[in-house]
This record gives sequence, C-alpha cells and structure tokens, in this order.
Amino acid sequence: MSASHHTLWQQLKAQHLVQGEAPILEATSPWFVKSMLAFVGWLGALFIMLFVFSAFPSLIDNPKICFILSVPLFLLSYFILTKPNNDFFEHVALAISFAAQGLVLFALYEWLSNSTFLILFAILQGVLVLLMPNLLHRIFSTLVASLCVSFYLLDLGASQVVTSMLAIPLVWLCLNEFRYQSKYSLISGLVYGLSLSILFLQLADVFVSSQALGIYKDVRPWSISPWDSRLLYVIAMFYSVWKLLQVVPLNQHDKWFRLVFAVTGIFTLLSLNAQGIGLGIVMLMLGFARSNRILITLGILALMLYCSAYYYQMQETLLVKSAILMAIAIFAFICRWLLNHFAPASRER
Amino acid sequence: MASSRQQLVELLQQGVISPEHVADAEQLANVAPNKEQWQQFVNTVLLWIACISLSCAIVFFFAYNWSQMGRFLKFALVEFSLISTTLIYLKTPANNLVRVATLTLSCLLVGALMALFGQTYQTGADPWQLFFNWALIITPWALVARNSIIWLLWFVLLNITLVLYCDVHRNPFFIMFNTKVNTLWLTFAFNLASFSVWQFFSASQSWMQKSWLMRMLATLAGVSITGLAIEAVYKLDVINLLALVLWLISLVSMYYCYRIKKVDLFMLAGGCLSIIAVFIVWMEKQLGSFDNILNYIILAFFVLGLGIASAVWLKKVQREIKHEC
Repeated sequence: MSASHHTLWQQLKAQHLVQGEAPILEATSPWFVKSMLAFVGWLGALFIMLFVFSAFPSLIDNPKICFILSVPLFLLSYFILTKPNNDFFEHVALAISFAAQGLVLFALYEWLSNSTFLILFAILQGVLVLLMPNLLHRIFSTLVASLCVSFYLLDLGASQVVTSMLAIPLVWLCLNEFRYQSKYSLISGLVYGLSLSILFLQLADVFVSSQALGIYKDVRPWSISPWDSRLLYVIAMFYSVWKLLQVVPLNQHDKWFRLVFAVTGIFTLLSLNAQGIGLGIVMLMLGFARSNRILITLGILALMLYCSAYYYQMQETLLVKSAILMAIAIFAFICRWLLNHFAPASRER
Repeated sequence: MASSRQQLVELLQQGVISPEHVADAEQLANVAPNKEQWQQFVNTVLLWIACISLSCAIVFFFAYNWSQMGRFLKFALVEFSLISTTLIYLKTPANNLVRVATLTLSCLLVGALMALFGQTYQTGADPWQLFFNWALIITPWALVARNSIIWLLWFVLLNITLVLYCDVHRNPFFIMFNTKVNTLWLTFAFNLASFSVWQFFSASQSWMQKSWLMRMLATLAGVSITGLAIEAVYKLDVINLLALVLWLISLVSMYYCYRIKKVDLFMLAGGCLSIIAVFIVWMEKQLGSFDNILNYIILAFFVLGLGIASAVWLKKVQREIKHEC
C-alpha cells in the first residue's frame, strides 16, 4: 500500500469514518504494460475472429445468423469480464464484444432503414453500458451511442444539438459521482464516455457533412434550425455554471454569484458560433471541481483540438472567426483584470 | 493542498466506507478545491483562454490575408515572431515554464522560416535537407537550454532526416555494401547511439534524467531492430542474419541492464512485445498461407500463450519491485 493511501486511511480512522486495518490493494499495472497486453490481446482476438468468419463465410452473409451468433459472443465477453482483474483477457473480451457488436450492426443495417438502425444500435450500446462490468467497454459504448444519435440528427442539419445535450448529464454525473458508491464504475464510464463524445462530436461537426457520410437511404421530411442548437448550448452553459456554483464555496447572496452568471451570459453569446470553446471550458471546470486530472486533460485537449479544427470550419470566413476569437480574448482579459482588481488573492504557485 | 482523490476512489470501490460517511470522506481527501484555489484556477484559465484566443485570432487574420501579402511582409512576420520569442526567452528568469515554452516556439519558428524560404524561392533542395538544416541551426539552442522537450524536437528532426534521405538515396554506403541499405538500419544505429550517449551523460546531469525521453529513444531503436528482425524472417541473407544477431544481442543486453542490474518495467515490456512480434511473424511464415483456416487458430493460440506468459512474468517483476520498496 502506498504512503498516501495509508495517510488517508489514518485520517478517516481518526474521524471514525472507517474501522480496523486498511484493505490491501493489488497494484495495478503501469500504462505501458497495459498497452502492451492490450495490443497482444487484440491480436489474439483478431485471429480468433478471422478463424470464425473464415470457417462460416456463408453464414456471415445472413443477417439473422449474424444476430444469433452475436448472442454467445456477448455472453462469452460478459463471462470473461466478470472474472478477477486480468489486463490481458480484459482486451480479449473487449475484442470479442466489439466483434459481436459488428455482427449486430451489420444485421440491423441490412434489415432496417437508416434512422431506425442507428437508434436501435444506440439502445444496444445503452444496454451494454449498464451490463458490461468494464470501464473501457462502458466508455466505448457511451461514445458509440452518442455518435449514433448524432449521425441520426446530422442529416437534420443540427448535430451540435447532441453535444450540448450531452453536457447536461455529464455535469450532473460528474458532480454526483460518489453519491451512488456501488455504481461508481458505471458513472465514471459514463463521465469519460460523454466527455470523449463531446470532444469527437465537436471535431466531427467541423469536418463531416451528411453528403460525405453517404449512408443515408431516405430523405428527412423535417429539420432542426441552427437556433435550436444554439438555444440548447445556452441552456447547457447556464445549467453547468449553476451546478458548479453549488459546489464552489461561494455564498448565494454574494455579489460574485450574480456576476458569474452575467459573465457566463456574455461569454455564451460570444461563443455561440464556437461552442467547442465553451464546452471545453465546462469540462476543464468539472475536472478541477472534482480534482480529476483525466477530465482536466480531456478539457485541455478538447480546447486545443477545437481551436485547431475551428480553422477549417466552413460556415464563416477566417475574418469572421478571427473577430469572434479576438472578442473572446478581450473579454477574457477584462474579466481577469476585474477579478484581480476587485478580489486580489495570494498568488501561490 | 494536495488531493487524495485516487486513494479515495480505491477505498470506495472496495466498499469500506459506508454511504453516510462518503461526503465527510470526500472532504478529508480534499477532493473539492477551496475558495482560494478556485480563484487562482479561474485566473489561470482566463489568462490561457485569452492568450490562445488572441494567438488564434492573429493567425486566422493573417491566413485570411495571406495571398494578398507580399513576400517581404511574410518573411517579416515570421522573423519578427522569431525575434520576439527569443527576446522573451532572454528576459524571462531561469527555471520558468514560459522560458521553455518560448524557446520551443523559437525552434519551431526556425522551421517555419526555412519552409517559407524554400516555398518562396523554390531552391530545388531535397526535403531531407530542410529537416537536417533545421536540426543543425537549433543545436546550439538545445545545448544551451538543456531541456528535454527541445532535445525531443532535435531527435525527431534527425529521424525524419534519415527517413527522407533514404527515400532519395537508396544506397548511401554503396562502397561497403552491394545491397540497398535499409532505412531501419540507419534509424536503429542513430537511435541506439543517441540512447547510449544520453544514458551515459544522464548519470552526471540531473536535467537529463527524465525517463520519458530515454524511453522514447529506446522505443525508436527497438522498433527499428524489431523491423529488421522481421525482415530477416522473410528473407535470410547475410545482412539480415546480422540484423537477427543484433536483435538477439539487444534482447540479452536489455535483460541484463533492466532486469538484473536495475529493473525497468517499460524496457522489459518493450522486449516482450518485440519477441512476440518476431515470433508470430516467424510462425506465420512456417504455417504458410491462410488457405488452411486452422492456421488462424494456431496463431491465436501462440499469441494468447505468449501474451499470458508476458503478463504473468511482468506481474511477478512488478511484485518484486513493490516488495523491495
């Protein structure tokens, strides 16, 4: 057990929050060992899948057989994942589950029209998030479910709706992650999955158009206006700030409380056409609020990638984008000056 | 005030803290920052958002007007940026993150300036010359700065130089060898030499003791020699036999240095991966084509077997390290 682990246990014991000796924890493998085992696990699973698909080629062409074949694969994956911690077999199980998902995806695509197959696949991913007892699987399933819903709405011309929609549950789950202790693994999978979804969807929004995807067979009879996505973005930003202010040690009657909402309003208006910046800052704030370094890193990554991708966005000219960014920069400088002027704090590194 | 979030998460997952005590445990573990930390954080975030937005705004503005700008204005922009970042570096106190960031930016701007020069005047130089000269020009800065990030850039530039050089000159050692010299030989030799020199000097220079750069050099050398060994599996001639022998010597050396002399899990994991890769390629060659579908299951068996063996061995080594600590 590490020294810091022991220290925390002693502190909890002193406050009578725990009793007895600290539990002995199995040391987790470092990231490079996990990566090496993941690569080898996936390679092994790939050969197994190639054997299965080469042995029964005519069956794979039949959607019904694909669907039926996926069930034992899901069960096998679930069985392996419920066994005690094993980095190597964890990835074999993931590969088997992904192969099963591929079979279901193929079967659904052959059977149904585009809109229904995406939604059904998203529902399957939702079920897998609840059932599969593995963090990586939950993250992946959350990401795929978000992408499916986004692809469905993409043809309606408002995929940015999904990213703002995702921010709301992300904020709630992140700030209540320890409330349901037994469900912590599920909640953390959802948190990281939703964060990655926001990151990918913001980038995809810049680069992908419905014509480029080419998977749609039917024409949509109705569409969502861009102002609907902007309205959702405003709601998401104010909700995020409101929930964050509930965990910040700030009195509700304090003048700073109202000022924060005013600043949020102005910033949200400035970033209406660059929503990735606002959502990246939300992720960063959530990570800081929970001392979650992974979420802070994802927030920084989301901001950096979005700023790079924003260059390629075709909805406005570079001159307009430059003006939007300049306005955000000036506003941020003013806010910082006001903060330092009216609330000077000790500058500790 | 440091947070013990990770330790708290481990205890919660063990179920040793009862639900009614979770909030108190969170407070003891300092998960939520205090008011001063929030203020400092918001201050920092506002500064970075302002700087990044401002930088991007300037870049976007110049990109919009780039085609209308004359060549001298373009050069002036890049040179002005280069001089500004260098001056900021000189004015900033030592051991400051801003100092490192500005010098790294200066090194990148050197490359931008050279690319602009090549694009404007169409000198006809080979691409490898751009990267080589770039590395050459920033060498004094790398020596003076004594910073791993700038040395990383330097190593990456020279690796790119070697790859691009071999694209143009297929047989640079035609006097010694009749056969084509493989790019992997050059990258293996360069990265192995770099790793060895870095390892030697890191014993006396504290700034060189950052493990990530040594691991990166070791990875580049390891990937190169593994690639050469895989090539030897497919075609065993004199040169490739030499590669195979060198690969075996590398593995033995790695085991001696990072298992017996001192323990480094990263190097051992890399060695395991290298062995698995070469062995699987060799098995695939012995089995022949995949017309016989049973070959897939045989390969899967060996991959899984080697993977399990690696996992068990690395776990054992990790437990030994933990016991020694």
